Amino acid sequence: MQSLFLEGVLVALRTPAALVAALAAGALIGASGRSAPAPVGPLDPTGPIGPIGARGLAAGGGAALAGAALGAFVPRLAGADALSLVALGAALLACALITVARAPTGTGGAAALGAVAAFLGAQAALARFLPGELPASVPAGVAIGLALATALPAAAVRLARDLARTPGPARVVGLGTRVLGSWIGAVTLLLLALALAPR
Amino acid sequence: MSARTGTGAPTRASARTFACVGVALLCVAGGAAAHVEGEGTAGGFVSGLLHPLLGPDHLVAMVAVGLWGTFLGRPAIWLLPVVFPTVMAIGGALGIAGVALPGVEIGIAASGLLLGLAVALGWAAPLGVAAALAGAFAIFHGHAHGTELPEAATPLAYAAGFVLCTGALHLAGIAFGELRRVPRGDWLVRGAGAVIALVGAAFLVRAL
Repeated sequence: MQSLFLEGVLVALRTPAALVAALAAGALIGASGRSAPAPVGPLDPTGPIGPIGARGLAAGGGAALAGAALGAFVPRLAGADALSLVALGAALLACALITVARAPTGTGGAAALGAVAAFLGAQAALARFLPGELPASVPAGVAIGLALATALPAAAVRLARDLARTPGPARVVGLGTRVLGSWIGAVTLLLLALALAPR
Repeated sequence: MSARTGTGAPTRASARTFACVGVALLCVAGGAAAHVEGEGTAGGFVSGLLHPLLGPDHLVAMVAVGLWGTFLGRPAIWLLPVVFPTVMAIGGALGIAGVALPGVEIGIAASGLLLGLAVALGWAAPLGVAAALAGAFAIFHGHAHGTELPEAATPLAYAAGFVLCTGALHLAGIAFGELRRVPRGDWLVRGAGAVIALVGAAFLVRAL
């Protein structure tokens, strides 16, 4: 039971389209929405994350988890290759939004994209199993694996934004997020090209 | 090119040193040595990571992009490390798709020469020109990577490795370029640009 669950987690993390889509969506969720209110006085790095940021992060993470769970437990859709391509396309869109958008994307849009990316990623990961009945622990592992892959970059970016609320560090975090987004986008573009390349 | 005056200027003796270094590099310059293959995820990632590092023609151009950014200032200093890997991925996609690109080796060598010269001369190019130039050269570098990518055991790890390494080389260039803030630092950075230009010239001679 436990090994099947872990196998699901590992398959999710080893499926390029699923992993990249989750990472990109997570980074977008973390970069979206308003930052926590600026602190008054010296910055307290141990202080709580602002309510607006926490709400946005919870909404984005929750949507991604729901998308991953839905994608893992609904019957597998036909055309796994096509689904992988769409998952990579969603990842590319997320990276483009992080890199190009001057204003942060709204949390609602980021959460919706995260949910779609997680759904497609889960479907692409499960397509690596042979058709037929799968124990429930496998899709559960896939869903948890993708939720983790989404939540970690989201939390990291959000935490960095909220810890760096003074203009100088905040600017560095903002630029760093955009540069990182472009690099994930470059990897995604190469994977997309590989998936589309004639065999 | 409009050379911006720095805090120190290269002397005639230093120019002689650069010339000697260049001749030495010309003697040792071989074909791109960035062809290390491994197996499994680690092998794919490490292969991708080492690909730019073990090819001096790739390495010097990517460092030069970061160095040049310090002369151009904001926003180019962070825009070039976005443009180069992104357009490099487009070049990689062309390579993966089997689209032939003439003069790839010449383009890569020319990128080292011209970007090195831009650093050595402190060329404060307009942002659009700098981005277009870096992007044009990135196509050649990406194409060279892309043609090898389909053979990689784990394409995701390989692609992540070489994109990460490319970005790290840009950041290393930016970090070295920050030496311009200290006395004689400008001299050092321009000198590094001159060395890069000489390496590029050496590879260009080989490619032609």
